[in-house]
Amino acid sequence: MKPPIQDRIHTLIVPLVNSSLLVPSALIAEVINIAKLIRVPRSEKWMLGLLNWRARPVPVVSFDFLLTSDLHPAGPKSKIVIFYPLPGRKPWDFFGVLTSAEPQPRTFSDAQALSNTVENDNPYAAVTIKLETFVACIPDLDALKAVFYPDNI
Amino acid sequence: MTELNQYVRIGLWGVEYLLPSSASLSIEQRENLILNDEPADTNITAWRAVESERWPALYLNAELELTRGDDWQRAVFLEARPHPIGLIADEVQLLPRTDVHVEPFTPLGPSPTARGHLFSGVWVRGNQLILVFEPNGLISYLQKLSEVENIDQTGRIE
Repeated sequence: MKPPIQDRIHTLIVPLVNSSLLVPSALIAEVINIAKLIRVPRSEKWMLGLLNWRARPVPVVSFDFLLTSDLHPAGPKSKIVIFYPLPGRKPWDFFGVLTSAEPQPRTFSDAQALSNTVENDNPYAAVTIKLETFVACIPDLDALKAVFYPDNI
Repeated sequence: MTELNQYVRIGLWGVEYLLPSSASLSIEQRENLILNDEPADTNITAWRAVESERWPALYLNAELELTRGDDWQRAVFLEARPHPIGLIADEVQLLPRTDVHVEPFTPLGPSPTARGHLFSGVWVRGNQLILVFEPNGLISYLQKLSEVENIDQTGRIE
């Protein structure tokens, strides 16, 4: 028997260069094609630049750099995933994450399907999960908030 | 003389920035400034002499790194303590606030100055994004740079 619809977990698999993110779909506003970014002087290496998204400025970050300290340029299949503001942030604090390929929607039947965790030592990953042939990490939103807005936590 | 309801558009090496005109004390022509004849000794490019004071002005490139050069015409002086401090610009233009719609923007990561981030908004002009300086952050940044003794040949602070 299929589990009730309300128990299903809708996610997006966000491919990075060396790993993937597993993100609840509710956190994501849109996935868009690569667009021109403008540099923000004196910002951190993981801050790639500012995007003009729907006539608002949205900072785009390299999650690859946060996970591995390697900075990779956008590739031909790269996209930008626009996230809604993190909990407690201003309504305009959308941010984007550079991907290495097109994100894929994935629905899990229940939380049990996400229980195959593997060891995780990255401070920006809440948990790392084994999925068939690859592992994906679920971002730690509190850790992201602390690195994005260290002066305001 | 600037009015309160204006922005100052500042061109630095081909990149434009905005500054709320309320933060701008004066905009001075190059010929009204005293050029620093010994730039190797300090990061200050020019001074404005006001009574018994000298207000320093710094020349930054598009990345807001200290730089040197002669291809500039004006300096924008910001109200600061103990004395105003200037930002040298390739171009300066006053814009009526009604022509400018600034969207709020929170820079990510730690602020580069003791008084906060360098930017607080962005003017979205068609496809173009123009960063808007946060005056307190910019003043703190310029003051910090003016106190650094030397820059290397790339213009980066040692």
